[in-house]
Amino acid sequence: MSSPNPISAKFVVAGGFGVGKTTLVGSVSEIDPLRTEASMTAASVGIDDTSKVQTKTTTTVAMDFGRITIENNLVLYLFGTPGQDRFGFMWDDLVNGALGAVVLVDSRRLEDSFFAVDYFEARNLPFVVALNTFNGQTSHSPEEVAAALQLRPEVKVIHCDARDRQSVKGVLLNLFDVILNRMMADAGQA
Amino acid sequence: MADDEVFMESEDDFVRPFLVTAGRTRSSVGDLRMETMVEQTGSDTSRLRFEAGRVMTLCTSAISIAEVSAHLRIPIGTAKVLVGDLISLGHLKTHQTIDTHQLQDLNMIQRLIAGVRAL
Repeated sequence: MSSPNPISAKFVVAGGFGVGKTTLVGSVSEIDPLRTEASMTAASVGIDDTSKVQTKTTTTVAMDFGRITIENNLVLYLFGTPGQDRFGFMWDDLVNGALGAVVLVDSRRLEDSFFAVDYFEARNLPFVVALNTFNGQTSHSPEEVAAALQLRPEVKVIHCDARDRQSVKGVLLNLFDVILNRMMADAGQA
Repeated sequence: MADDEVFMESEDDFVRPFLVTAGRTRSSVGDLRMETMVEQTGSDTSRLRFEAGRVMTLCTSAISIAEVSAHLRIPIGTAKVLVGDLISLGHLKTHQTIDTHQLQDLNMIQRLIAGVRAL
């Protein structure tokens, strides 16, 4: 039996297909990332306009996740989003209850992160943008990325190596900072 | 005969989700999330069979529904239905998740910060 009353917190790692979400999760997780699936039945409308028939399709999407046990049974779960926008329909479930998010970005494929940025902004979920460096190199600066993604000034863009534990820790700490600042600001307004 | 063998093998590995849940797609217990941790209550579960029994074995210590889903190779929704049933029967209890409201407690985020820093 584990010690009494563990409490869990969820964070989300979003980004395009193949950008390194699972690698990032694995760098800080105490377990090898696990894969879980959600099957969704989505009504798709208008595929065949002439027939006006609604069709239902069942899609199975995979999510990888990891776990970090903090002292006193505080358990942090990190969930990677399914890598493609067309699975956006299941993000509500994933993000419901999440405390914050990391958008992992490959600056050569910025368009892959538009969906995540828009989604978190619309939901008012605290997030940071982590610019993944491959072999220590990025083709763009954080400032360029912030401009290209049209981020609000308060959104941090930080360099990160998804394979490196210290680097990923830094990303999470930056995210916690954003959450903490927002809480203090909210408390100030109250 | 070869076909039979294949069938027997795959039967072991794969149970269609709607059979596990008797066709239900929603849990009888509300507000179960993928990160919700569940744990045995210590009730007598010796009569539980198949997937329910396997869930109970996994939940000897607190474990999230996502982990139940991953270990049993069943979709999250199916895991929620199974876990919900076991909660209704008194075999499993849920643990709290931190949501944004509870975060108003500064202590929680400070614990997260200290914990990650110490990794």
